[in-house]
Amino acid sequence: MITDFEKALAVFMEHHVEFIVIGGVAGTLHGSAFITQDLDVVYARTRENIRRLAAALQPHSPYLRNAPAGLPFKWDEQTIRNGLNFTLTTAFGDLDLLGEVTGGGTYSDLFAHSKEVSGFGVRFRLVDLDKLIVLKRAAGRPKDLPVVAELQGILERRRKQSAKPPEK
Amino acid sequence: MNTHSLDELREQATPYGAALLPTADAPDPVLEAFKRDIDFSLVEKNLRLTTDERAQQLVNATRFIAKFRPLVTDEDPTASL
Repeated sequence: MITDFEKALAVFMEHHVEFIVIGGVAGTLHGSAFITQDLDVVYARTRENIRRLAAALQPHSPYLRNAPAGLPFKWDEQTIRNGLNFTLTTAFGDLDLLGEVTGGGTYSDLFAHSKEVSGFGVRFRLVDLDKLIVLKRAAGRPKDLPVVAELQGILERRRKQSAKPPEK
Repeated sequence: MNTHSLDELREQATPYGAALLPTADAPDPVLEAFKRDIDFSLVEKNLRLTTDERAQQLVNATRFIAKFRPLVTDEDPTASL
């Protein structure tokens, strides 16, 4: 299922959920030409943020992705506290909610490696390019290799650009 | 128990020559091989756009996929988008 990114981010912002966008969407926003179909975010595991996250997604039918139909699943604060990382389907598409990510740690660990950006009609935090590459490399998935190679190329171009003396 | 961030652990481990995690620009021959096949002209076009414009481009592309993929699969065109 293809995610409606505008809707998903609007839902998070409306409920003041603290999160950082990582994954393919982050790659696209840094200039990648690969197209992604889901949204990956790292969320803060504070009591208050878990409450907000539960309330934000509750009306949008969150369910475990690839779980057998009919498996009992209740989306609430308790479920989020008892779990950590959730791969979900929702009414607005596929959503990966990560309490912790390999190579990046928690929301607090990632915060210093993120910045606020504008996109999809809202302002939200996006992981920086260096950290995104580290996350993708740490995940160690063969399918990410072309993406990581492209992101490294973007990083090299950016560094070359910033090393250029200012034009007169 | 002391807790440390990944960055603190990496900083502490570096003097002992231990690389806990790869850095963004650590060389890798496999990645270099993939890099040769990437069309960076598309990337360079994207780099001239703002973040907002790149987001809009992704929205347009996913809408296009959502509209036309059902023509070649059994997917429900009304799902999600």
